[in-house]
Amino acid sequence: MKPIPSILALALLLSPAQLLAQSAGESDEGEVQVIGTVTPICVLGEPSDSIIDLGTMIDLSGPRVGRIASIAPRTVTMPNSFCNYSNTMISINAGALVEQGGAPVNTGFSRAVNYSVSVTPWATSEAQLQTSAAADGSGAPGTANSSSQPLPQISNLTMELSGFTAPSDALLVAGDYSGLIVVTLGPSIED
Amino acid sequence: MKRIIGISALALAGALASQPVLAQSAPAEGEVTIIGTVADRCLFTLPSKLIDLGELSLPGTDGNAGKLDTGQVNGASETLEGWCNGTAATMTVEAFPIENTSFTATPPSGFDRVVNFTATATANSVDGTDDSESAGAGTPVAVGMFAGPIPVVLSGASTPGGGLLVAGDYQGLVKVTLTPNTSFGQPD
Repeated sequence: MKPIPSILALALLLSPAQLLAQSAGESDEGEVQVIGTVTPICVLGEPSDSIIDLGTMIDLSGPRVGRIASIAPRTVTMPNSFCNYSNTMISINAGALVEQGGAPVNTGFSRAVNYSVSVTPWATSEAQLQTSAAADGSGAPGTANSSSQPLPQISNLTMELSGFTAPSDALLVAGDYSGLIVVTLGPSIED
Repeated sequence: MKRIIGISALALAGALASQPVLAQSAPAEGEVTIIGTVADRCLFTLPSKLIDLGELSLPGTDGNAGKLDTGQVNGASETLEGWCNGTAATMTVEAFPIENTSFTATPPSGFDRVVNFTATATANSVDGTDDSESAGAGTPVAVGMFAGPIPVVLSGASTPGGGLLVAGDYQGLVKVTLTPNTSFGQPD
């Protein structure tokens, strides 16, 4: 049987270069890259009210009987509204409250109620709009935009309606009045 | 003459007798020792993979809309392949957070741009893990001699503030290092 050299004897036979090669050992590295996306979105929080009922809008007695009463401001909150990207704005499109019968009105009467609406807070310059319908209800809805919000933003938005007036403070025609306010949260038109 | 012949015959017999004695006492043997080495080594034969998590934020319009969809991250996996030829090989895992690469500024209050997770790599039925939230690699684990798949699985996804994720492209990394036994031949 041939003699088997011991490990020690074998080590003595190896050159220093061989020893170095063994001691270094080759490690290796694997990588798993992980990617994903987050789509740019804006979400308006659920409005606290989807219908604002102003009730009777005229004084039923007194010196202003038949004319628009003092109507307290109304607010609608939209909590946790957000845009997850930069350069966004709030846009308001609103029309006056108009009597829905549509019949012509005589001089001294009005079938429109104008008001001011704002949605805050979002940017340095907030979205604010004053409707401007004529006594006969004519006049296109107006649009107002906030300035651009330069960062992703989360906000408990509040829409406030105030300053209810009739054109020329005329007598209001009897009937059901309605108007529509559309609030949009989206990319700034400045982009 | 007869004597002379006798002496010659004795001398011849002595010469013949001496040859077998020499061949038995000194056999000659040579040896060639053959040696070689196999260095301790680890190698990834499939060293790179990609996990595409898709949309990371929750859809809808409720209170969780826009926040991290953990279901997109937890359980996601890919498999590397490799081997180590030494019995004392180790494996180390290092997880790097999934970060928004297009929005690198500090996000406003209520937003996050980082997704942390735990990465688990398994080699030779041994798990190595690391949490991306803590800097540096996880604890090395002994995997020994093996050759085969090394699945990498993500779990425990979270955002630092539990906020809304900033829109953009996100990227993270799991680095798996196989290290062979380096004790052999090391100076004391």
